[in-house]
Amino acid sequence: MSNNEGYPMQTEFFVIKAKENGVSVIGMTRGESTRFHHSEKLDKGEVMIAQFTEHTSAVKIRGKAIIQTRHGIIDTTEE
Amino acid sequence: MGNVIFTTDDLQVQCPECKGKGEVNHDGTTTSCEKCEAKGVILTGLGQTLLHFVKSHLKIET
Ligand SMILES: [Zn+2]
Repeated sequence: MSNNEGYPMQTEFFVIKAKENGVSVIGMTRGESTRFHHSEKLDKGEVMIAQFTEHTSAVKIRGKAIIQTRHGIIDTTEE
Repeated sequence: MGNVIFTTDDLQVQCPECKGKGEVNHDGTTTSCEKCEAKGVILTGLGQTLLHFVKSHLKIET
């Protein structure tokens, strides 16, 4: 896998900031079956900046967090 | 952080699909969880790094 070829710097990315301890970010595989292939646990105040890649086509976020994408900001605590 | 380097929680996260059981129940039929490949957990980047390191040095066949 080469990040420079298929997924250059301008590839879409998103930002997750945890508002509590134990927020989990779970990457789902690209392709026919969507497995969970990767997880990250964020503690309060921790920030993760992530990209969609050839391996990851979807992300599931559990817990209180602020997510920023190019479509806007999502606060998971908002109803 | 003190002297605690990392805990199990830093290495893996419980599968939200099967809640760690490794299998799911649909209409009374139990099947192994496809989301986590029946492991019940999903490795974190740190978990994968550690596993890869240990595997490469122990030369475990996968
Ligand atoms: Zn599972």
